[in-house]
Amino acid sequence: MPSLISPSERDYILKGIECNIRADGRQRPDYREVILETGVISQTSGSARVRLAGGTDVLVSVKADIGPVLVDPETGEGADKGQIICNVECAPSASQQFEGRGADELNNELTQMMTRFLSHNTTTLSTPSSTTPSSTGAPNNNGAGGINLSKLCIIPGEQCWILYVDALVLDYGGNLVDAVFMGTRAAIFDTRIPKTEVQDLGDGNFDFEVLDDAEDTEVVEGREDMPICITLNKIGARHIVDASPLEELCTEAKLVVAVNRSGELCGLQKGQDGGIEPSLLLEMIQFGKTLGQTLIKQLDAKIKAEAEADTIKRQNGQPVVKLGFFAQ
Amino acid sequence: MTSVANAVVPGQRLGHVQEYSAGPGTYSHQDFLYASVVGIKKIIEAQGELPTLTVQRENSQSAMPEIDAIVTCKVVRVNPRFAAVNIMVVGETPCKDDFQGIIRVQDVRATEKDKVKIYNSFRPGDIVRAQVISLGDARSYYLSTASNELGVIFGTSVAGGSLVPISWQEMQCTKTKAIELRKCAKPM
Amino acid sequence: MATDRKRVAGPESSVAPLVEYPIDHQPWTPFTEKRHDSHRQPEDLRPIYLKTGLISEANGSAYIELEKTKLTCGVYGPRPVKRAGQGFSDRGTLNCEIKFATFSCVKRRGTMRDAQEKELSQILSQGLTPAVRLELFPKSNVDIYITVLESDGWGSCIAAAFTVASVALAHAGIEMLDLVAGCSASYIPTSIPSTSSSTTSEAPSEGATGSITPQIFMDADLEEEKFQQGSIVLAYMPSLNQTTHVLQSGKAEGAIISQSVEHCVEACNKIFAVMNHALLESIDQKTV
Repeated sequence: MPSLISPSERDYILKGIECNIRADGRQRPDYREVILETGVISQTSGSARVRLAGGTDVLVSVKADIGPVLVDPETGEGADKGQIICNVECAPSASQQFEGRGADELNNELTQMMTRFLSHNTTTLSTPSSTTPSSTGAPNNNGAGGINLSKLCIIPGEQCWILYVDALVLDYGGNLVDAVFMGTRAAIFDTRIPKTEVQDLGDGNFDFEVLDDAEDTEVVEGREDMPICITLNKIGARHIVDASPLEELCTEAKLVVAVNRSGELCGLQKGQDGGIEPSLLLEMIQFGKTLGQTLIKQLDAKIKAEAEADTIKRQNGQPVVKLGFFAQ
Repeated sequence: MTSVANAVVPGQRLGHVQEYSAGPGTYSHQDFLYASVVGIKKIIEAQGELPTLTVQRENSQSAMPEIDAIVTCKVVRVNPRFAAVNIMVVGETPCKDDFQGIIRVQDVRATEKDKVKIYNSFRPGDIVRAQVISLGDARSYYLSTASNELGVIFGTSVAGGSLVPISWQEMQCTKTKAIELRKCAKPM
Repeated sequence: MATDRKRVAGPESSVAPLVEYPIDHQPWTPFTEKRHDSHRQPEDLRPIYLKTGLISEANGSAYIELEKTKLTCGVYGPRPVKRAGQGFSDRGTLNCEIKFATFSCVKRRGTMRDAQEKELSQILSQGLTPAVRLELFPKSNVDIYITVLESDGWGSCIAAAFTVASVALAHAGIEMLDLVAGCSASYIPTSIPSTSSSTTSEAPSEGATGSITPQIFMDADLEEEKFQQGSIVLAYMPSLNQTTHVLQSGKAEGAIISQSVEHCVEACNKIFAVMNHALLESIDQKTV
């Protein structure tokens, strides 16, 4: 991961983008090839690995764990909901700069962004205060993250499933945010949660049992509505998607647009130290939205095809072979 | 109160670049001049040139060393290669926070640079007038005293008395009359 | 969580006091009344009080108050870079830190900076950097410290932080391209969804969410934020017509976003007038 760029290199990239041709031959709105694979780590409830042709390599794992529900003391909200806890970590192997505390800021930025875009509760932005009081009949939609957290609750007010979403950046080749979100979406798609059986012990006491049947598991409800992110990098007067590390260094301002399959915007965040005119901002949002929808369709088709192929193989008693870590 | 009428804030458009040239406290952006600080707008007329637009700051920003600026600093450390100093005043304006600077052995005087000994030029505690020659490295500014007016302007002797310059490289203690070596600044 | 062992820690968890409301007390909902403080229209901001020069030690400082949202900001610098390991740079750096006072929110905040405050600090410096002429401060640092004394509405708090920080920067005499005004808006549905027959836990996963068009509430307060579907915070430089930051969360249609961006830009221009006034007032006091 280079940290500095020479003026001539910057000028080369800038002029290229102006002429709609980039250093690796792509045009401005072109994405690199995405290599996506699910179910790569056996220890997890769900996992995915995303690679962009330029080198970015992200591994996302989802682990389902049972824990107490988190209740907001003020509103009493959250008693009937599971939780999603996100974490992004950049491995020092990805770049010299990530060594020691070097990646702290980036880790924190990505983790917070992921928490904000994925968590159910629509008022995550106001974490310290409150959540939508369900009693007042406020609209209970599945939030920006799409996932139906109520389905993750086992015993209301006591126990729930907690999904720990951990993304590990193994290699850095630009456009980290998009890769992390693509991986997260795929990993949640891959996630299977064991079924539970709740027993009423009377006196308002409940007990539950986790069914230990690998065949009989549940998928995460609302996974189709999870958003992905499109990062638009403003370079000069133009904007590009899926920037390479060198292009990222030329970026004046970047805009992360989170969009779900029905084209609803689930989050927006500006990054880098530049400004954007409001008209361009709206244009970029529109562009990101259209592109994101197309990309989700392609990713869904890919995930579906892979899942189907695996099922057929399993039915026929054939071993399911994954590309694994040696694939190029 | 007339001055308040001319008060401006950052981002305020002041005029067209064809009418005025940009002075301190202003910047030009797409054919127009804008104010970049809070203050009073002033127009300085010039013969044969465009009048210069300046904005005089109301709250002066704390001083920062610039290249070629004359600074007053205090020696904190010496070693054979350089004297480390804290820059306390830039020109006439004091700095809120001390900036670090170093006077390298080759920048102490203009002639016979190879014969310069730092410990015969500066001692910790001396107040030195120097000129900024470069922004230096990540930490310190590089300073020079290679000029008659530059060098130690105030110092204390080993005995604790103040030193008076008696030649360009000697100073005398007012208490003990002992002579100590310094790179003296020419009294102004 | 990081703890400071030299400090006497507060209780691990805190509980909001039980308030006894009169029997006929009805909590505010967007379905009954227009706004939580009934004198406002949806597009109205809260009145802003802005003053410079509260912290005598700082190079520049400012205080902002939007009814129950109160923030102070101190600006120090340009001063030499203290942190070791930061190489030579011919541009200055903007270091922004925001801290919520322990008593500023409904729940007690920790004394140490948490992950959220760290991210907010980053967001603020990203939004303020475009406005500062950092090329004039080689290898120096401008430090901005914002303290949230009272927070009534998360979005408005971030927006106010942008506003107060840029006024403090200008007050410190730091060369800037423009002032940055911040504004927030929330998308709040004003009618109860027609799917009232379904229980709250049984949320329809498809389609139904898009059926109600939410209303844009400018500068929402805490009570109003409880009902929001999503919110946006926009930082904007009025003279240069540039947005320096945008932060949106929650689901929304594209049309709502563009509408709210326009509303925010409009509101930022109004806030800009207040900022102007506060800065000119600081000159006034000196000359009189």
